[in-house]
Amino acid sequence: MSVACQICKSRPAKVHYTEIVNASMVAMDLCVECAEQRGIDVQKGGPYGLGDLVAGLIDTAVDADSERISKVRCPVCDYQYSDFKRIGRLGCPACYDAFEAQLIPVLRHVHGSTQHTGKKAAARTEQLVIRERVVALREELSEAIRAEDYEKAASIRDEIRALETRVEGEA
Amino acid sequence: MSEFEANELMGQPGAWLDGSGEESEIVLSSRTRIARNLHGHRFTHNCDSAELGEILRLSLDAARRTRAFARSRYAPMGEISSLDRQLLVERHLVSRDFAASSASRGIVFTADEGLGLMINEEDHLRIQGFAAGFDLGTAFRRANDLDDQLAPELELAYHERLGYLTACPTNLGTGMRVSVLIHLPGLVHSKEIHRLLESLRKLNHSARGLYGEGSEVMGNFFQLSNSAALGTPEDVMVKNLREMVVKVITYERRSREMLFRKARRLLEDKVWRAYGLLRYSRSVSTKEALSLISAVRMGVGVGLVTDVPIRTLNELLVYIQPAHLQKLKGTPMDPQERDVARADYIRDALTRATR
Repeated sequence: MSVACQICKSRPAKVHYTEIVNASMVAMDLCVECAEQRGIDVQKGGPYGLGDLVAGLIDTAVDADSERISKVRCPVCDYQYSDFKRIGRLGCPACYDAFEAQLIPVLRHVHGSTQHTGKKAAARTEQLVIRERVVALREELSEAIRAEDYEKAASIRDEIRALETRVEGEA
Repeated sequence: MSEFEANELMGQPGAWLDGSGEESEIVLSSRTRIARNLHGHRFTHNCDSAELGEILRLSLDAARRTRAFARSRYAPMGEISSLDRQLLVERHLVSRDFAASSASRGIVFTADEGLGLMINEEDHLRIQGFAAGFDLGTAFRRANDLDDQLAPELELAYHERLGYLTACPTNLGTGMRVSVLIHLPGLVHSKEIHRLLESLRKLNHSARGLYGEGSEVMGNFFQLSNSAALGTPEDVMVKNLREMVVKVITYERRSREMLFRKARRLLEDKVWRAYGLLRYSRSVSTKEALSLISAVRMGVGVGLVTDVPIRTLNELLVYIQPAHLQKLKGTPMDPQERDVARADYIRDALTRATR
């Protein structure tokens, strides 16, 4: 059983979205035709998704030179700037560097800031490096034991212990 | 970490809805969400299935090594039934979008449901910490502790100046959103809610419906949260929302007192009419039930209704939803059958609570 469109009351409702009217939310069930008449992009699934709102900000923030800018690509994942404008999401972490100039005005608008001041990951990245080193050393250790090079094995073992106490000390 | 069992969940609602905690008549629960992504991988929406599988494997391995998830459950979204996926949505453990596109997605959560980790949501990792009532500190600590425990196990996408990198630039920086689930019938009935929501928006906070982004406001339940994630340290974000919510609680109280003074008859009629319908009706939709529960909840808040615990009303919010009703009955039901089962469930719950 399908619900009839709330506007024309004849065609079946295919588009379902929530609109903000006088600061309260109203759920709407519309047919494709009436939805398009109200300016809702049916392909995108409504004008109120966060991605679309972000995309809207981009249009107003960066206007000049838009043809050239929209063709800029991320060197890591090959995502195009126009993809971001369409979807409202970036392709990979490296896109932030690739599209930095275009993103700055967006960030200023959304957050009122362009500089992170909270929790930092740097200290923990060092821990990760240590852990990876420990994994590699363990492999070297089994190798040394297999080769019956016990002197080398003992020194690797000491190195592993030293690194492990460092990681635990920080955790 | 053990496999998710739907029946285990059915026994009780998440501990964060148990009606305890500060201001529990007005604030149902507090939540902190932290978004993280793995360095060197494309964001979820841009991944093929092989990369999604790799991210799921890495994240799950890391989650297994954390203390926070020593005793936890794991649900692979692609392998459980759509009814069970809906059950997880109704318990706020996963988002609707997450449940809808299930391949290579998984949710890890603690047995008390106070902590959850969605893998391959909009961001690779979405940590959620919950607490009962108005307790943003506990919700934040839960989520932040898990983040601390996961970080040494994974290489996260982090930028010296921009902070934690997220798929959508709105979450960039701390990757964090703090929120409360709050009941504001006084402000709605006194028609002050529009002005309040407008001011919240100007102060960079946002209000949504019961199920977060894009969801409809039902039963006068709102989610209030911060909007900006970049440029403010985490503890200040928590403090800012806390101060905001303290004010909103004051306004809500004032509206309720005003209604009680100026329109006592009307208010009493609304509350008792709703109570009567919940106690005696034989068929009720989710939407109507939420609005009736809202009225009775306000009745408890202003001291009119004294025999229904807040805990019972919170439980109703969870168990009257479609997947929960069908799980309880053990059989699929069409909407009409569910309306009948819902009315039955509510009558039983209120009888048990007030006996």
